[in-house]
Amino acid sequence: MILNILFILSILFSGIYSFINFREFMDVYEIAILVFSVPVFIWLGYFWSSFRKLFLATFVLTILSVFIFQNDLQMQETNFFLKYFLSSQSLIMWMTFFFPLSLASYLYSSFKLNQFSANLGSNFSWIALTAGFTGLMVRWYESYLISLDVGHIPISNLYEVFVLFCLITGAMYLYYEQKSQTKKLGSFVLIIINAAVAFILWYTFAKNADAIQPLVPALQSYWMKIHVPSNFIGYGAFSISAMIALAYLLRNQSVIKNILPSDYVMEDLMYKSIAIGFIFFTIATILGAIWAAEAWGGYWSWDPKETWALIVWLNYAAWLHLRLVKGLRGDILAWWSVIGLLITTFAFIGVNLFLSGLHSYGEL
Amino acid sequence: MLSVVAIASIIGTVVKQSEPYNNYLIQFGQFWFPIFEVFDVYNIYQAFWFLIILLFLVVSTSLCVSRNSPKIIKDIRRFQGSLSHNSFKKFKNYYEFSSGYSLNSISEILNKEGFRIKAGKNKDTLIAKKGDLQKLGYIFTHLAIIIISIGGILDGNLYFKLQESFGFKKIESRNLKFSEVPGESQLDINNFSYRATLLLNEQEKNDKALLRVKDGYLVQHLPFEIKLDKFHIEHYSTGQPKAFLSDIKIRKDGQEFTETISVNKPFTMDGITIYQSDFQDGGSKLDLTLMDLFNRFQPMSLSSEVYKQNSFNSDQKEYVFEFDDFREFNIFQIEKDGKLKTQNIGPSVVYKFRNSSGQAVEYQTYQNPIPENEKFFFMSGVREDLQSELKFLRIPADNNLSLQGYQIFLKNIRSEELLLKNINKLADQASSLSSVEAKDNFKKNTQDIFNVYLKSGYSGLANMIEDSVAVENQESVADSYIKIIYFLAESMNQELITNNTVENDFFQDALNAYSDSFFYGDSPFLILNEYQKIYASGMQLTKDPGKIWVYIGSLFLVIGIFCMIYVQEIRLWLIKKSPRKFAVAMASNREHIDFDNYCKQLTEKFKVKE
Repeated sequence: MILNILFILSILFSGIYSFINFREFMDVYEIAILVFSVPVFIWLGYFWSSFRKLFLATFVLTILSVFIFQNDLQMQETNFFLKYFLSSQSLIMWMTFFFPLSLASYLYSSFKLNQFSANLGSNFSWIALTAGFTGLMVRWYESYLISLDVGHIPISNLYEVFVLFCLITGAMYLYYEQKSQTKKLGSFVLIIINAAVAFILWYTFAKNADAIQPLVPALQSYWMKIHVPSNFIGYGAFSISAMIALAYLLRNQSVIKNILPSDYVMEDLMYKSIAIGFIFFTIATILGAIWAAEAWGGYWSWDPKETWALIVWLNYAAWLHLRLVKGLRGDILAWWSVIGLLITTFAFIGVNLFLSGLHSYGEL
Repeated sequence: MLSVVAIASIIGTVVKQSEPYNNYLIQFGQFWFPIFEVFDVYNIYQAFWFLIILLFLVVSTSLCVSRNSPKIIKDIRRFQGSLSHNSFKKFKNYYEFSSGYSLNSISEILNKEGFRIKAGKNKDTLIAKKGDLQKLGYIFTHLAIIIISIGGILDGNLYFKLQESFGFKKIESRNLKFSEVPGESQLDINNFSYRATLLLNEQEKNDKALLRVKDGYLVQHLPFEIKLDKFHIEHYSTGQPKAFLSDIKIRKDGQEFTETISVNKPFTMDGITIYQSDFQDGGSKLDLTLMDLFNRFQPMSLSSEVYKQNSFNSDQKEYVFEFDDFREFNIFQIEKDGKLKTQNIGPSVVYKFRNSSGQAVEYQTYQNPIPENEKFFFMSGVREDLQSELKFLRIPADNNLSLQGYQIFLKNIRSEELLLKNINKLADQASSLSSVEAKDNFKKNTQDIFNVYLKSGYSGLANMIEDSVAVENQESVADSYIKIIYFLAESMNQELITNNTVENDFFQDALNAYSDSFFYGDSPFLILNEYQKIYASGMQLTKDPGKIWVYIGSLFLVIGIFCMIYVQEIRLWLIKKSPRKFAVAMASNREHIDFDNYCKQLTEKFKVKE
């Protein structure tokens, strides 16, 4: 009860505080997004009770970090707490520390059939999520400390969206874990999250990609706030489904035979995550088209990114069609879902690496 | 069908679209180029066959919808038939339960759950169903695909394609002024959809735009005239561009509208949306001084413009060069206090210099000296072909951050009088030279060494040493030569030190710069004194009446998908077997865990606490 009240109060506080203090810096669309996000977050908390705890933890830590920062970016070098815990870079590093721990715990629990270790795995993931979400929030704040005109939501380059990918995939997985009441798939889903974590670490240390960069003109739009997250809900959901599909395909191998949930549960989870991913991917692609119409002068230019988004879309449309209309189940759909992830990965990263186009944000 | 679209789309992403045809010729070679051209691989998304497939998709989807819709609507209206108790017993979700509720109360519960109810044949049975929207979802999504495709086809440059297929219009591929383009390559303002481009210099205006088609173009007439007042770039404090803006005036029927467009903020008028798409130099005015790197002629001043050709004479030869670009801002990562910082280092000019044999070499010269290890250098890069990296000539700046120190240095080291005077001084100081003969010998050798340097730089000296000195002594000889040259250069330029024009460490850099000048080619060093930047702004003009249909279709699509996935269609049969005993069966075309759970929960609701 107290948790509920605190949850709603913290959302209302964030919304109203932002509205009162930053209204003059936002255009009408951004205000609409702000106002709209208040009921969305409340609904999310209603829909999924654990989200309330995550939100509150992120809220408290973010406020704490902002409080210590005192609007001085130099503090992250000098202040002990900021340097090692509450600056965005260290928070994200903590995220990259806890996701591997989580995977290790899940794996241990899978092989030793140890429930305690499985619970530990979930908890590590929750800690990673809290650190990661707080990290992004603080990064958002830090970007404004660099300069008011540099400030922007931290989902604008490859480094930031990879963090976002880990967080969204992790959160969606934890939701399904609770809903299906099985922690047995953690060892699989956490693999893909940790692949992204590995990329983040490499990108940070080999390329120094973690610095906050100002936005190029084409990205300065409120559309980014809705286009990018919905896209990554899609990517995250498709990844989860592919990893479950992998587990499904390996279910008859003697080593892991006993550590997986029933076929029915896995098929159901595969379907659910592709369904939610598909809806968000559809919305993201449409939003992308509307944004393209505003920024590039045409809602569809057959830009490589657009074309590959269409290919991904057609792929999962066919998947859903086969399952829903033709009633197909089993290995074929699982294989399809794994291959779907390869296509999705190419659309997400491959296009940036190998094909040039308008959508060239974040190159290696 | 869809897979053909997908494969074609993939080809489209691999082959860069709408590039100049020559590039493709180079890429694919003589053999493949014409074959690919037949299939319009270079403009795959505008290709005839691609549109036909899309059209076929629309037609087949339409047929599908029109065939199935009546059935679906009928399905929605109609109730499923009654089933005998025995047959619905076989359902997976079949429950028997006892309850104190009457059939009427159960109907109410079902009503609350969103079911529609029909009494069965017998009084004791009930038939109910919910979730008809799921079936509507089918119609919605397919309708959406049709609407989106129609919107897309509407925006597919049909106006020209139709006129072209009847032979009325033709693509122009020659390089002509707009006014010279023949009528058959001009499109009037009735064209209902296009994406044209318009490049305007500041203060320039036009009422026609360029429509790129395949390897040529068309001229598109606009219903208004656009004038570019000013183009500007806003920067972040680090120097990276923050915004590209064009102040434009639109004139139509004697009325004038002033607008500013920028990236993400286009302006729409008469159904035509004007976008900021790119920019380039629009003929900036440049005021320059040409400084010969060997002091063969006095510095010359020159007033010119970007894109203008210039010439001058030196050594009875004519040299021609033309400016390609003038960049007011150059953003670089510069190391400062051990950290990389992004910084604007100021303007640069890019030009092509043709030597007397006509070969063009590209140069890029920066106006301001660029900091490097707490010193400043004037930089100019040179490359003979566009693929290679620029090689830089670095001329040290004097204490006033100007080139004057180096100019004096140049004049001094090339003065024979000064050279002899300082060689004499050097010979007099050298106590080891006792005889007159030895002194003369020393003077002559020293003069030779210095002259070789003057004529061909350090590389000339290196050649000389290689030819005339034994291998084991080469290094020490080279060392002493460099010392001699340095000593002479410094003593010949004593005035620079006494005037406090340069510091002592200037000479090493200056000598290096002079030596590097031999690799720089024939171009003099360009000193940019003043400039007036003139931009040209590239705008895109889009008329897309299909857009609204695409958006409406997209909305249908989302609603449709949502209905299909998240609305659970359920059919329910219920029978009252005896006063307190009931049996219920539920079926759905999509059964999964959530459905099973729902059936259980619903059955629980039918039971009343007894």
